Amino acid sequence: MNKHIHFTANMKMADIILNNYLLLPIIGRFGIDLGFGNKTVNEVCTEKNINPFFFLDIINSYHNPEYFTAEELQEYPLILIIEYLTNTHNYYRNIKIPELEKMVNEIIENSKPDNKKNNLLIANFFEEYKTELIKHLENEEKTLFPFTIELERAQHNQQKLERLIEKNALSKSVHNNDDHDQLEAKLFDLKNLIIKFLPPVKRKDLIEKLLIELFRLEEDLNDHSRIEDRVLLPKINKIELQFQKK
Amino acid sequence: MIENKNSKTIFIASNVYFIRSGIRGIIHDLGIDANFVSLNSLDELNNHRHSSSDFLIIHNKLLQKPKANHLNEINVIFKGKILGIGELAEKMNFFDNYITLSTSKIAINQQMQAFLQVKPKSKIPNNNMLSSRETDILKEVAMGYSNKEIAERLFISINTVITHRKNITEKLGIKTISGLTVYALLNQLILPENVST
Repeated sequence: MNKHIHFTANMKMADIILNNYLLLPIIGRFGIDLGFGNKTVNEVCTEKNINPFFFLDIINSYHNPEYFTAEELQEYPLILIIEYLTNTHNYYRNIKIPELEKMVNEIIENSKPDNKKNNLLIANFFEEYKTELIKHLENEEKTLFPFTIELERAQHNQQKLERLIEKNALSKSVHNNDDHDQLEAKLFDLKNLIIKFLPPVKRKDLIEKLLIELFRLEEDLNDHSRIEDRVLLPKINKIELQFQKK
Repeated sequence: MIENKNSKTIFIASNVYFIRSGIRGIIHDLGIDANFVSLNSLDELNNHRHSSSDFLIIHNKLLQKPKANHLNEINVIFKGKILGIGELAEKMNFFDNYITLSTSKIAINQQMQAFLQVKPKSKIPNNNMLSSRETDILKEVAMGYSNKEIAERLFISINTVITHRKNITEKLGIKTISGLTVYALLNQLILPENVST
């Protein structure tokens, strides 16, 4: 994997994955299926009606976070960003979390009797994390995302904008990203508890798989929070500030 | 994270940089915490303070002939243990230990450990990284008490509680209260019925 490769529109879509397989789920959540032969990024995106530049900015900033420039991503219509974030949420909820859950259950089923208690502690901690994560996702989908879309639509309608901002001015979930820190800390703890303190489990392969998936989830979530905290929220603030100046 | 207050001082006498840095690397890889002093000649030994608990490693090329006499003189100045290294397996009874440059990695490691008298690291996992006071605080946190309550219960100030908590998190790598609770349960510091839900 070469961090310094910068993916461009004329590159073959397959080469992106061959270069960094961690991008697979990101490409998938744009609604792109495998089997694209030798088609370029541009060709695949056009077929699927995806903005290729937005796609490349997301892919490149995930591939190499140093590339991440909040300002550039803020240029895109909010609806594009929200759509991507919603797809990401669905990926966590429908694929990633059930997958992790299955692994945790398998570890419990394969516990040695004397270690089952310990494994259950980890399973409960995971369950707690899972519940908080899902609640957070739902919360954003119910408040932050619709507010953002409405805000963008109302941008040029002074009266609508006024009503919207007043209605949401006190809403914590729209301006607050403490949740991200709390969720990050929990995932960090989960990994550390397993690595450092959980007595050896019977099925080493399962616990290793679980850990690797937790690391991947962490990386994915970091990228996700980066977009929310540094692209979405600042852009909302910008629109609100513009409004207050008028 | 465990600070070794009695880290050794090891004098390495060789005018060959390759050898000096090689020795440092070998000792470092053995996980031995040491202060190194490089000497280009044995005369430089006079410029440093040393004690019987220090170690000296001599590249035998630095010894003047007759080597045995020179080494005798060194033995008078330097009271600690002396290891010789050289290309040939010379008969050097004056050295406490001797390693030839062609020795295999495994043998070097064993001889170096014998010279520095370090036991291979114990295989028992160290789960007791916390001090007993920190363990007390951890139990309280895990049982769901707030900083203020812990301060009152243990007759200490809130600031002390906060400092302990910071150290606990740093030592264990666990940040959240529920994470600390799981740690306490895993290590049987508290019983499940002590946890308030």
